[in-house]
Amino acid sequence: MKHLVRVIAFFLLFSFIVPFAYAEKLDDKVLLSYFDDSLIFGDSRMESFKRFVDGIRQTDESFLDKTKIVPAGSISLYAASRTYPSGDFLFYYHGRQLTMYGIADRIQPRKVFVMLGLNDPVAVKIDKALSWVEDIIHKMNETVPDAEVCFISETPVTENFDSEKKVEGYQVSLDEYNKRLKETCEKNGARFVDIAHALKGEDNFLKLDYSNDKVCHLSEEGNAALLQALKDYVQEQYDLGLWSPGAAETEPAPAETTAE
Amino acid sequence: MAKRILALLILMCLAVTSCSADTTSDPLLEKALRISKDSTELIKMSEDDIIDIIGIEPEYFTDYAYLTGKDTSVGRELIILRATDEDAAKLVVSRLESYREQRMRCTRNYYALAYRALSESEVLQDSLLIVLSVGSPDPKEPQLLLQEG
Repeated sequence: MKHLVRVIAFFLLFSFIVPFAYAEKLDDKVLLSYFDDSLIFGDSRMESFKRFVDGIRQTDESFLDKTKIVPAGSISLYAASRTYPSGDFLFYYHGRQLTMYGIADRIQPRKVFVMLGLNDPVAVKIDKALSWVEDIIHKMNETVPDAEVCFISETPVTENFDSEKKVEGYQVSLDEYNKRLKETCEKNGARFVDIAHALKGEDNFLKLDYSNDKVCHLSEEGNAALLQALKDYVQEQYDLGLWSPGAAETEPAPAETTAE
Repeated sequence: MAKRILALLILMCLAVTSCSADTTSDPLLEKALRISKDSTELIKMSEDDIIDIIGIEPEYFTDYAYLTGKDTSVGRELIILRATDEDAAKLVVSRLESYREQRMRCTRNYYALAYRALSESEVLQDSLLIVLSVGSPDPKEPQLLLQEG
C-alpha cells in the first residue's frame, strides 16, 4: 500500500513539474509583440523609459517599433484622468496639448497602458487615486471600446524618498496602493501589470542601482529591469494561456485617425 | 561574355549609387554629428518622433536631425530642420517654439538642469534652416549648425 502511495505521489509530482520544466520560453521579439499597437502613457519615468527604448533602437530599429510611448513629464494621475486639457502638465502630441483620451482616439490602439501616480503622489491619497483610476478605465473604455486597458503598478521608491518628499513610510503605503490598484483593475475589467517586485531590493525599497536620483526615478539599469519585468509579465500571460503570440496580427492594425 | 560584363557593370553602378546615397541621404544628421561635441552620447530620434513629439509633419521639411541625450533630466536636445519653403519654415519655427514652451512647463520645479538649459535656448532661423539646440556643451553649437556647408 505504502509503495502504491509513493508511486501515485511520484506521478502527481511528475505531472505537476514537467509542464513547468518544459514550458516554452518565448523569444524576446515574440514577447515584445504583445505590445504591438499599444499606447503607453506615463510621466517622467516613462519619458526615461522611452529614451531607453530609443537607445536600443539605434542598433535594432524594429525594437518596440509598433508601440507608441507618450510620456508627459510632471503629469499626475489626477491631471491625466481629466477629460479636458488645462493647467501646465498635459500630454503633448502632434504639436498640441491633448488628453489621454484624445490621443487614444486618434491612435485607436489595441492596448492602453498607464503608469502614473508618482506626481500626486498616490500612496498618500489611495482612495482618491483609485477613483481616478476608475475614471480612466471607464473613460478609456468609452473612447476605445475595443482596447484593453492595463495599469502598470507604481514603481517603488528608495529609502531616501521619505526625507526628500517629507512623507513617512511611503513605500509601505505604496505597497498597499499597488495591492488595491490590482483589485480596482480586476473589478473594473482592466489588467494589472506588476513590475514593482522586480525593481525592489531585499529591503523592499527601490534598488539604489536602479535609480539615477537615488529617490524614485529610474536609471538605465532600472529601465532594463522594468523592460524585463514587462517581458516576464507577457511570458506569464502566455504560460497561463491568457495570451498567444500572433493574436495581435490576426486583425489588421487600425489606421491612425485625424479626427479630434 | 558580353552579358557577364554588362551584369558586372550594372552591379557596379548599383553599388556606386547606393554608396553615394548613403553619404548624402542625411546631410543635416551628418552636420549635426560633426558639429556637436557630445555626438557620441546622443541618441538619434526618428521622423515619427518629430511628428509625435514636436508636431511637425514630413511635408514641412526636406531634411532633419533630431538628437537627444540619454538622461532626460539634463534636457540635452539638438533639432535641426530644413523647411520645404518659407511658409513651412514659419510653421516649423512656431511648432518648435510651442514644443520648447511645453518642455519648460514640464521641467519647471522638476528637472532644474533641463529647465535652465531650455530657458537659455532659443529657436534660431536662417532662411529655410531652423535650429533648436538645448544644453549643448558648446555654446557656439546653434550658430555653427545654422552655417551652411
